[in-house]
Amino acid sequence: VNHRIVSAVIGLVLVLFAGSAVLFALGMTPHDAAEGPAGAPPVPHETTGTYASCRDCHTPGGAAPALPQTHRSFRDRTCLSCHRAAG
Amino acid sequence: MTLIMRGIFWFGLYVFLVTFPLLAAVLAAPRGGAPSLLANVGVGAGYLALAMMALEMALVARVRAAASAFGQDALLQFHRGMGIGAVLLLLAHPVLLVASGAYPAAILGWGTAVPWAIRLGSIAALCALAIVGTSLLRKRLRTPYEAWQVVHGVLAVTAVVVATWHASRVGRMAEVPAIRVVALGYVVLFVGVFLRYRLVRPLRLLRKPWEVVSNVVELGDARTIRLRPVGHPGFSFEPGQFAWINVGTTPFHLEQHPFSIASDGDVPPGGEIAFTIRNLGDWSGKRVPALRPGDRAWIDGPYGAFSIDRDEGPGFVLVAGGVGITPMVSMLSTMASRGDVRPVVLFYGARSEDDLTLRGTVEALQPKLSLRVVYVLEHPPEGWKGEKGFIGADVLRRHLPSQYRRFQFFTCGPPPLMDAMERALPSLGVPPERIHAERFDMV
Repeated sequence: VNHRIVSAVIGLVLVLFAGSAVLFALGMTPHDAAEGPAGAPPVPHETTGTYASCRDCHTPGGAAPALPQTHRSFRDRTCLSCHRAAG
Repeated sequence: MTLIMRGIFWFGLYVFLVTFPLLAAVLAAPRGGAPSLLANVGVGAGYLALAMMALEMALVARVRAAASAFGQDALLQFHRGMGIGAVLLLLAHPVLLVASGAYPAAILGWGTAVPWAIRLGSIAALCALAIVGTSLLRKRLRTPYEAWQVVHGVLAVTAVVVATWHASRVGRMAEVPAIRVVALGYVVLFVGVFLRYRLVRPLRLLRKPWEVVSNVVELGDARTIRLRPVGHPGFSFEPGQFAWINVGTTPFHLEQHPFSIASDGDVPPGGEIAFTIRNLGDWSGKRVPALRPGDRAWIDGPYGAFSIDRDEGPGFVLVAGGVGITPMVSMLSTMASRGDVRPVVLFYGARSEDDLTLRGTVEALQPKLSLRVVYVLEHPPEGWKGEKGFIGADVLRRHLPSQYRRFQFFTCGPPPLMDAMERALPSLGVPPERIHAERFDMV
């Protein structure tokens, strides 16, 4: 296999992979995303002590807004990987 | 399966395995969460980088079926290119997530507020950058090959394990069981290939030791080492193929190097094979001259797709530079022993007459073959009537037979010669499928 052919194949494969990342993003992004928030909203309260467990309050019928359907299986540490604690 | 079909299969499998995490995520993960297209491109870049890193080892793990379809040097070049590509995607991953607003810019740093799971991603990126940096600068930094190999391996294992840990702990998809299984599957694949390469393969070699029979000085600061199998039949090979030589006490030793086999490929059971090795560094300059008859060696081979047996033709043109003559001598020796009288033109470039390694062997084979040899010397002696300078289109044109476009062309030598041939041969109208190249500056 010619050195130049391999170089060309490497370039093409990388373009293909970059394209697949864009296709993946198109498949994963909801259509109304542009109207949504730019990022995960910050947590407007402490995240320790009484508030250490997100799911104690953020449940359907709980004291705080329920977690979105897509977040139901998330653990507390996953919540805090996107949602910044206030202050 | 034909060679082309085999190539398509392995290439398709590689592309599928790299993109499979994205497919799995689209099928299994909940929509939404990351709010923008840009953030999702960043997530996709991260998964691609992880899969590419996990498969890097497989590209160079001497999987014979894959290596025979492409040639080990092509796979190594692909490994390098994909490694650099993986690092670019790995760096794009956090940058795109921050640029999209999904994560604060602080995650790019090392502050105390950065969750440990995100720091794992930073560690993986630093390892990947170090892998590429130490590889690209190895020769400039004069890092011994063995030390670099250890660093390369440790960093690679760390990068893949830490990156997978990061991917299974951060982000909205980390909690999706199917995605975690896929991520774990790539670590298992990586570890499996690693164990096959570092444990299973040497264990197999342990049962097949070789012994040095002779160590002879050749022109051009080279030596020919003849080896015989001990307690096993050895192997025959396709002339032009190469093998990895390890002269350590066990096959687990890291010090192993690839060399073209210089002897006749049709080896009878128990027969000897020979390698001609030029002094190009610590190992070939110190360890090889010290080899004595009876010394133990371990041979992992044969590998490679660079052979006259793979590409039949009415004749052959062999273009060799320096110690790139060794696979050509193997081809010529095999043709001579087979009584193959198809026409061969050998272009052999070297710095001076004293650098024409294996010249005596070539000239001894000439009466048994329909062989024409064209020596091209960079520094010819006084009164030299042959070609001078470097092998290029003009030199080729002067000596090629009229029907050369139907011949198979094999080129092996240092990078400048290989680059020159990649320009010259197409300009002479040689069809690309009849040009076969092997770069011996692989590692």
